[in-house]
Amino acid sequence: MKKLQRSTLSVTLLVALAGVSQADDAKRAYIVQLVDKPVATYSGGIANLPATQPAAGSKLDISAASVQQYIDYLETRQDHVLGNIGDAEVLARFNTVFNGFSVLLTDAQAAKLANASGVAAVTVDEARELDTSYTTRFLGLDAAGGLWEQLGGNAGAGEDIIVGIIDGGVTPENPAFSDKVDGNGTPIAAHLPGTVVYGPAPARWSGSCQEGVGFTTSHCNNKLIGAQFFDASYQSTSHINKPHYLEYRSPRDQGGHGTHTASTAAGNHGVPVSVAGVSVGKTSGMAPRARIAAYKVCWTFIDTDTTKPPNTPKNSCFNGDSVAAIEKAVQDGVDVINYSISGTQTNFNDPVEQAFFAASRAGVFVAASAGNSGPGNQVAHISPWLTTVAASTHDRFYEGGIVLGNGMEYRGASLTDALPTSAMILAANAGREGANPDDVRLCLKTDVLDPAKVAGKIVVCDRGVNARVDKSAAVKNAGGVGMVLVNNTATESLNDDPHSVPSVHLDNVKGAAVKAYVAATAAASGQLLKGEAKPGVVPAPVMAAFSSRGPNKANANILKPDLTAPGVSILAAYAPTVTSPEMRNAIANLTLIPDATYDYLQGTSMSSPHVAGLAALLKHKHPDWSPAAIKSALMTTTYGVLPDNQPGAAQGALPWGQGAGHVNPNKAADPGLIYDVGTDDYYRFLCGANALPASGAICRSVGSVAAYNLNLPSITVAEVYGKATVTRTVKNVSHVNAVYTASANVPGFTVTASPSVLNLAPGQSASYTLTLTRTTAPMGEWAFGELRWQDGQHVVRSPITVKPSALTAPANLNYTGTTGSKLFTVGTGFAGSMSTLKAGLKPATRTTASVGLAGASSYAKCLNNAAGFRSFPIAVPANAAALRVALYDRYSSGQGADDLDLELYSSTGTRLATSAGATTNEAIQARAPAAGTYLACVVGYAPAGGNSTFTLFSWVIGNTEDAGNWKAVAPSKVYTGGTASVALSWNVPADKYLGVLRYSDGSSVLGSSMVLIDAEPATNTSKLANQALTASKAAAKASLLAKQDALR
Amino acid sequence: MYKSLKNGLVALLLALATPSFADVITFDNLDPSVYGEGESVLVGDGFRVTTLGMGLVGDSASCFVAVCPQGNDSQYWSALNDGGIWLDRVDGQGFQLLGFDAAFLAPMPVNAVGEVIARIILDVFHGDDYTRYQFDLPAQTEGGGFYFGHIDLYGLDAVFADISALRFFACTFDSSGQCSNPNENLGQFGLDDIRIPAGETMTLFGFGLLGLALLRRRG
Repeated sequence: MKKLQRSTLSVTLLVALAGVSQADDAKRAYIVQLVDKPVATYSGGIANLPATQPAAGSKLDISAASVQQYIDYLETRQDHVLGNIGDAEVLARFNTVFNGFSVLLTDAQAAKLANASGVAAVTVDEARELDTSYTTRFLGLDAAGGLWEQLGGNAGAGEDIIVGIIDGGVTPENPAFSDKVDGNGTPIAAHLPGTVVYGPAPARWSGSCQEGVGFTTSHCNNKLIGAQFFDASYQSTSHINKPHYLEYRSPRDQGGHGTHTASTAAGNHGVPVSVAGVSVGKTSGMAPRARIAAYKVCWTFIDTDTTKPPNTPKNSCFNGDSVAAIEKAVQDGVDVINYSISGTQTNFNDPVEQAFFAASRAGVFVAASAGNSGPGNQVAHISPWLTTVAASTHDRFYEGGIVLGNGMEYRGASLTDALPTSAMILAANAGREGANPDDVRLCLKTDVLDPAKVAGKIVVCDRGVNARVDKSAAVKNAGGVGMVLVNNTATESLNDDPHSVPSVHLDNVKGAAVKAYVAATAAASGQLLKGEAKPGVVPAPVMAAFSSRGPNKANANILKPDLTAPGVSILAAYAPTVTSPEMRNAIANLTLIPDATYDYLQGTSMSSPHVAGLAALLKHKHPDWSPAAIKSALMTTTYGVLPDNQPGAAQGALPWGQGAGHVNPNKAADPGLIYDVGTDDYYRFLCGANALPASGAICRSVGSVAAYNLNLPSITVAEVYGKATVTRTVKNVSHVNAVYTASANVPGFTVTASPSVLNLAPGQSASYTLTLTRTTAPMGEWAFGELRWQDGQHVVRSPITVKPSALTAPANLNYTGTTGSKLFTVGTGFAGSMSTLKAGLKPATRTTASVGLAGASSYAKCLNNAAGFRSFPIAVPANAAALRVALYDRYSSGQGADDLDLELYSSTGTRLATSAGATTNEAIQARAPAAGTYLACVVGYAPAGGNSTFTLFSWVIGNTEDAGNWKAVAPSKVYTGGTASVALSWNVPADKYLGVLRYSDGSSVLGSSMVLIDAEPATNTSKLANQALTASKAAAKASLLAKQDALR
Repeated sequence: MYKSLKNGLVALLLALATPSFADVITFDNLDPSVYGEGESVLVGDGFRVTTLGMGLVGDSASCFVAVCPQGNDSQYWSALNDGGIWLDRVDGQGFQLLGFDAAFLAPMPVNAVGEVIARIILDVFHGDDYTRYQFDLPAQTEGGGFYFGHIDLYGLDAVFADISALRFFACTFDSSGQCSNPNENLGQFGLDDIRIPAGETMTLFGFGLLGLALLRRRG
């Protein structure tokens, strides 16, 4: 998400809402952030208003006089800002973790607000999506001496810690959320008679149990101490998003996601579970004695995608509602928040990220899901104050098997009961007449298997295309009594799914043997064996392919994800499956109390609550630890995952996949050293990362720090010019004096810690530097290693990710005048000689044409010069140095009043780039473009008067095409980690010129700068109607373009 | 970082009569251009600049990333990447020197307010022999800029002798206080208004002064 900010001439708003075609009076939800700090981070500075930020290790007291006084101040300021916009409908106000409000505005009002005094940012309210027991044992929580035992066993672990779940609500009838047990001490649903085993909510709790559809205050108890819902932003889209009948306007969970995450983090211990009628043991949350507070922000409505069947449900979570929930959770007194909802991949100033920043300053630990867009580089929740969790496998495995009629036995995954000897048939031979053979082989649909062939038999189905459990459902539907599911390749997993009929899932080799037997045997038969738990059979953990990978696209010097936890095949509580409107209504009007249900889900949504629960345990054990300290303990005690089969940067065992590694909670309870981060440290980071204005009060007060020097337990340097020195501070959190010795290794680098020995008393902190000097690591490629501090008791491990760079040079150099001389600095990551290679300066080719008003753009419209589009083929030879196309206000008939856009397509019709500012000043350029004929397309987005005559400027520069009209000089010798001044001068007739300056070490080109020289006489810009450019126009335009993109 | 000598030391001068007929090399008559190693350019009145390393004739708007010196509205010579200039007369005749303006040219923004980062080194040649003088370049100001300093040489014996050539370059200080050249391309400076007395007026200024010469070496 990007922002409307003052002085921003061209904005690109990604709008999730449909129906916005142009800047008009339609209102939509915006989140407005004001410049004053929220309560959780206000450190004083305003006359007569003392600081409200809690001291380190303290909780925020929302009722304190100073806090209320500051809230009064903030609200007065908010009122003042709102006074700028007359009839604005405020959806929600925020003051605790975010200073501002969500509000319905027209684009024009938003633009006006963006420029108002006291406003920091105006952001379109964006919709986000939800990202989808045995794991307590896999994590060692219940081991002798493990973290549970340290905290009083499963009857004490997490006691009185409050875990806030910001998600899709909660199913209160599940025993995971009950404060009662039966006569055997087993949790039972809270509405049933039993013994209450939880005391009242902790005194600091000030949240509520909010009533709504199908939910009353009686649904809360001493375990589920809070349940609230937030839907102001969602409701503001009601003209577009029509509620789905399944939804409840209350804290009640419709989809099961919120129930699943809540029970994973802090559900009761020892809850008996059955899935699809099969008992699969007992489950427990990570912090079984913690209290749960549910904050529902995700809502199910009817999908507006007309390509989908009518009434298809869609679930989204709007940022404004999330900010409201975070705000309330902090006010209520939660200790930990889990946020298994997608998030920004690029913006530290995203409202949700900012709200979590303030929450962390109020002492609240936040676990967030890394996203399910793996193995691509799509990691979300990129802010350093969050603990961003990837997902990996665990080794729970239920093993079953089949004994064939020939006596051969094959074992595989099975969660189901045994089946006596039955006849067998290949699905490929069991199809109905005329059915698609592939559909039949895959047991794809319920109507492709022929009951006459299948009845009473075990069917052998191939894996692929449809859900695995749907295959057994198809078999059952056709009268089959069992299934053998067969993998196609060696890399496919074995899954103990809850199938509809007794089943076993075999690998491709065993599966092939079974298929060969059945195919060759006239009366093939088999006996299915009952699935039984077999820990250790499956190698684990391995990163899930779906887990979003790093690097961090907001700032590559901050490692994301931070760590990984179980997120595949996670069994936890779920919402009941509603099969009819009548059933839903019965739940809604409280005449039906649904049975407790459970399900296996996968996703970083599932791994994140594992970490939230572990953080609750650590908070229980170390009440004085900050969120950063908890994160540090979790990260520095991790262990590495096993290799997966992903290529290159997608490999799960790289830090881009697993972060620091897999959580190891028993070690995290006693990490030895921690890396803590204070509020000003984060501000310095934000200033250094240009996420806060350098000239603003905060940055002037605290200064800035390079992102790689933020005191994180991971060390990441995205650009190492020969040598980089990183500074860190550690604190001894043990109870004894300790002498730690450093060891570090990164292939292709020498790594030196100084000092290399730290002698620390309990509670003492010390700083060290880590100097990384490149030796043989390839330029431009990430290198991976680790740093360990060891004292004989503890191993404090930090992942190191560094990328050596040979050169950094300005990407674009823009100059004016027919003559001139300029110099600029490049950074060098190598020692030796450097030379420059010139191409250009070449004057533009000018083509004049006219264009009318355009609709939505497409390649076909461009290619055919449809009304509103004019295209220009541009031939690019092999080894070209550069391609550039540009439009200028000065060279369009509207003289600044036109809004023409520019698009560039490949020869195959792929749109390569778009330049869509709010006037006609547009440009697209490419270095070293591939040979071919490109298509530059001028789009008449809003020509003044409906038509515009324009001139397209284009340049194509050959690889060695030096016009001899300029001169460039670089030093003969450069140094590793050094700088060098490069100078250039030119002497040309009046025109617009393009050149490319490339830098070489004699053997290869290390980088280049595009040189743009406007040698035309200066224009009297006052003649141009640039004042027509407004933020509202830009916003509306961006909305339309985003919408058009979404439809492609 | 080396902390120096007062900012204004190099500007110390005697309140003596200024030569009536001084020639000043301003670089203002040159086209903006860049020069590589060994390239020469005539700078007026029979004087010639030969590039040592690389240089540029431009103004204070020339820089990107680098920090051009301030306090000079006209063109000047920028000596870059530990380079400098060689100044002599095309006709080989001797000449004398009154002073010059110079400033540090930082390769990137730095935070060293009040600290002297670099010195300019002046080698005054008499045939094959030379005398070396070093002058602190003005420290960074509060605003982050580096201003031209006015360096006058009244009283320095050698500048009144029959100079055959001048060599200018800059050294920069390392963390131990050593001022070095070459020093990883950091030695950069702007040079302007090289003041050459016209003919007989020189003899007026043979007395006076003052510890401008910080080091002196006979080559």
